[in-house]
Amino acid sequence: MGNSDLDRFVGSQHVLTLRVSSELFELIKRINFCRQIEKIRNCELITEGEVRRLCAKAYEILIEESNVQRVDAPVTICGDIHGQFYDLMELFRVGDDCPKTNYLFLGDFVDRGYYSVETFFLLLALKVRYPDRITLIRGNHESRQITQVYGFYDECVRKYGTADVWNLCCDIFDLISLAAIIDDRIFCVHGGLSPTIQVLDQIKNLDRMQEVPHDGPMCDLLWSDPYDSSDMDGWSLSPRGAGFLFGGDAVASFLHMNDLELIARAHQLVMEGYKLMFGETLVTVWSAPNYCYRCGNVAAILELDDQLNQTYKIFDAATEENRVPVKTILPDYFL
Amino acid sequence: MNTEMENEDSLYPIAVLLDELRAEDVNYRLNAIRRLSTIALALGVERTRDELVPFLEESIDDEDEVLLALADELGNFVEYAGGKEYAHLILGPLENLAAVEETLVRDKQQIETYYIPLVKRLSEGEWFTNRTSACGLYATAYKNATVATQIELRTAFKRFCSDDTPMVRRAAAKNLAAMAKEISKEHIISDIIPTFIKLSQDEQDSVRVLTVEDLISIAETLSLDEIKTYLLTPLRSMVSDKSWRVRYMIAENFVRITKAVGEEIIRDELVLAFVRLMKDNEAEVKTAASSQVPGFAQYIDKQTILIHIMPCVKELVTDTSQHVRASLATQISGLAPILGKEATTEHLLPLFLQLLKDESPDVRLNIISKLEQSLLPAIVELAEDKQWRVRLAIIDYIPLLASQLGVSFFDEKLGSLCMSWLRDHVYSIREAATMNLKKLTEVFGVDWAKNTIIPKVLSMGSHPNYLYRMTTIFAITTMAPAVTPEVIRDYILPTVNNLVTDPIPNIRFNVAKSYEVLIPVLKQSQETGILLDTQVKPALDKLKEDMDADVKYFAERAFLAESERSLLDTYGKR
Amino acid sequence: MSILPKYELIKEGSQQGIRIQGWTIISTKCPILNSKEIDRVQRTVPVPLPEMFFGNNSLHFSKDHNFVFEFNPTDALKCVDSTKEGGEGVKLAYSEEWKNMNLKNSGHVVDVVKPYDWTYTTTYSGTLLQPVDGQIFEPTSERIDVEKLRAPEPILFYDENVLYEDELADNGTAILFVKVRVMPSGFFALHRFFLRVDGVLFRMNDTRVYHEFGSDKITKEFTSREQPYAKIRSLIPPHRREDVSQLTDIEWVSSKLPPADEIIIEKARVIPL
Repeated sequence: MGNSDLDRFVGSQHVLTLRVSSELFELIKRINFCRQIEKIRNCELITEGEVRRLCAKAYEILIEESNVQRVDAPVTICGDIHGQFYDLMELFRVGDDCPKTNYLFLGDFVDRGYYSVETFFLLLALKVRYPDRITLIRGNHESRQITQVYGFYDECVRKYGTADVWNLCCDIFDLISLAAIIDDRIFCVHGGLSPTIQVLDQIKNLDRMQEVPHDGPMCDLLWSDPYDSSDMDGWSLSPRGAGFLFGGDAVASFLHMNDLELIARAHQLVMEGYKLMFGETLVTVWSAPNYCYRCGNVAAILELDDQLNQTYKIFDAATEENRVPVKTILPDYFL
Repeated sequence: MNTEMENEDSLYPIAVLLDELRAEDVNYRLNAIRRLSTIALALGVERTRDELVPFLEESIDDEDEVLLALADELGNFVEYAGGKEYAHLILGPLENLAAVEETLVRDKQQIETYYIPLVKRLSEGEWFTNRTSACGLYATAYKNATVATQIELRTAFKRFCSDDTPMVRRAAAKNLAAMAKEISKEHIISDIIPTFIKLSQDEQDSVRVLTVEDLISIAETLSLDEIKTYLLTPLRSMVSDKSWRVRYMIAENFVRITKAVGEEIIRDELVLAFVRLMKDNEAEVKTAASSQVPGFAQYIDKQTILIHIMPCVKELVTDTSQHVRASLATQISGLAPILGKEATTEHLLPLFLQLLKDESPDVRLNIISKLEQSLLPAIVELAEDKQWRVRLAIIDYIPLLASQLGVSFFDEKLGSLCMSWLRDHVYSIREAATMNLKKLTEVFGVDWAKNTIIPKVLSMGSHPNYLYRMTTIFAITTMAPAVTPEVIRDYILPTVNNLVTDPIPNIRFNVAKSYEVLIPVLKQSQETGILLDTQVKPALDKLKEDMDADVKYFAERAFLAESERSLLDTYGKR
Repeated sequence: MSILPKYELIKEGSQQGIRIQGWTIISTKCPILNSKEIDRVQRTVPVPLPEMFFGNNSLHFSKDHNFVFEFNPTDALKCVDSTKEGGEGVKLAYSEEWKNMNLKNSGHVVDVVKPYDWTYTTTYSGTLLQPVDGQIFEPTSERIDVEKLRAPEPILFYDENVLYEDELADNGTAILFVKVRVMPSGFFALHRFFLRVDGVLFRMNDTRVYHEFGSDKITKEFTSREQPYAKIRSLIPPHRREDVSQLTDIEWVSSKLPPADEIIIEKARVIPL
């Protein structure tokens, strides 16, 4: 990478993490991912070979992580991204670049949006370069079965011609942590609680390195939803016949048992970007603005300072993301 | 003696007149008026012009009868004043009379007995002054006349439009608007409009100019369809009249015309007409059009403003005539509330700044005079906009604005705003705010920065919230290349050194990055160069031993950069 | 060659539509409801709102202010089964397996609090806001003339509008949407509920509405179709057997579903006698 490339990198409009040229230069020396990060940042595809190298390095890092990653404040918590790459760039414009700000992503990086591949590789590249500055935990979409239905599989095949890249990614999905705990006070998970888990140690003992199962505690952590209703306290079976709903009592008891103050989770779309429940002991954070390019919602990230003070930052969809070729409605002689 | 007698004789009638005109008894005053012609004759043309007419102009009676009599007499006064070439002198008092016509007329009885005959006499008068003054009396006469008389009056008024004397046609044009207000719609269409059209095509532009007002008055009485049928053609020809005076008058009254014609015509006709006027060849027309921009903009939608009006405004901002630019400078701020935040930021602010830099002091003065009442509130409001991209756009304008406004104005009005952006919760704003401080330092100088912004930035370095401390590090690193080594030594370095032991690793590795930027600046002078060894190196050594991998890495890198530069310096010296 | 009737297109904020032959047809498109709006609507409907609830969207028809008819998502939800039986209807593919496991693991949680038909299947077929002469939709045997709809007429106004959507916690999809096309001779709308429960079933409830300009009636047809998941899946062409994305193509699925057992045909007057 010559000087002109560096200049282009530095001078280019998109803001990402590694803007200082000398810093980038070091990066090349340390890891040979510069080109691909630049490419990803410009929403270009990295080659399959680069994907392999990235995944290999990510494998080394992720496999060492605990099921419940310990994270120090200050940190900024982000909810679902769902392949909305340009909105992720907007998120960094609002919350500051990684590594200057520490990030915790609550899963569901892929599916539904048009740029799941770029989104996931960017987050993974950041993880590889700054393992202490960014934490990724697994969402229910980081799964073989779900990505086959909701777009990531198709996108991989479309962009790489084969399912190989998808397979590589799924192997990485299996390694991603299930939860995080910030300064021993805030529990972070994609979906919610599980009736079979009372204390954090029970999560630490799970065997996470597998496809998300259909049942059991690992499934619950990624799938369950809070349910605030006078009809219910504690636990309920989902009307679908699988999955749990948990009420204010379940939250209160989990917080008490583990000496925690807050549960931060994602998984459910919220028009306002975040939603506090159960007397502000649980928050849903949603970071995909104008979800699916048509819901009209705003997105939020939760910034925790070193004293764990909470600031919610709201942002709209990036103009670039909206330039995506949204299906224009063409008159159709339907019957 | 003889001459003395003559003098006394000649003065006598005036003295009597003055006395009688001030008499309590109306009859005396009437009597005096009726003798005016005799007196004028006695005084001779010169003194009539110089003394009697001005006197009459000043003394307006409050009795109708007296005024009517005066009007009657004055109609024939031209010849006493010295003939045609002095006729204009009589117009003054006549116009005064017309102006008080409302009070003149109390009841129908009087109208038919005194007023109408007077109007008729004046209308048929030999001198154009009679006819001119008659024109001014028609509206009131008509309003109060019987139906039969109204017919006569309408017919008579029409004759004025073909009068040989341009002055009469001018008076007709001038009074047509008032007539239109009194006449029923039916007769407006049958009588007034043809009259108007004839006048609007008059060979004299001084007549045509006056028909703009008529157009507005007539339009106000008509329905949309009627306006379309009768007024569009004359309106179009006025907009493209060969005389700039007519176009000027149209431009000058554009908002009133707009108000009178209704939405559809505005959309279909006026937008393009206005564009045409803004692009006129004559500076006067453009100046007048410029004065109407915000007023007209209120009647059209934002999209149309952006597509049709703004490009013209943009051109006018750089017009060769400073009068055009000055007029625009006075008015342009009125567009801000109409355009709304984003369009103001995108389209209007650049024009503001352009005008602020104008070579003509008048233009700058006009824009600055509007600054406090409109631009500044707009900036302050936009600076706190909910959308962070709007805030960002405003920050980008600040350095230019600062350089135009000068340091004291800036400190007073915008200084605290610039500091508040450093605490914005959106990172991109904080980043832009620090870049802004650097640019301001370049504009106002290092001393200014040292005394105003640097202390404030540094004080944030000990804030309990780590984000503030981060901003301090980021801001001083950004500003470092713009200040002197001494400022770095005395102000910046101590703060950076303090943060080496910050509990937050993100602060510590940014401290390391900051040293990397400070090193070359410190090296610029021998005096500060020694600080590298005494302060920077020990700090970096400490950071290199940090528990956090990223802190270590960035400390290492800063250290390497320092060594490389030393090496380079050594080679350089050879 | 027929002469185009006079018409006027409407585009105003979140609304677009057409005025033609005394009809005003308006499609309203807004963002999903915010929390405050959700709380308000939730009080009027018996089931929890779907994940993406476009509560302010609608497709609205009005004829000279005499006849007013619309499709709206709130009324559609009122037609979702909120009883215990409704909740028993469809279960996820791995429901049995899951329940057994769950029983083994935690034992104590087996109840569904407030069961309802979580597939959001609705039998809704529009809301008659104002009938003409009090006459509501009545059964008829006269079907919508499909041949007329096949005529290559210009489309003067066209729109598609989603009323609600739920991805069933990533176990499939339930979507309710409406399409409308207005031609010089008349208008036609399709209001469709589409359900896919992965590994379980496909379901499609269609309401079609047709009016020929100049006639005094509007015709409405309702059908309900359903097929097991495996059956539809087996129809994916062999060369792309593994590509389940085919199953997200609603048109394709529609073409594979068997015809409905029953068609409910109704008509209503649109002009007073």
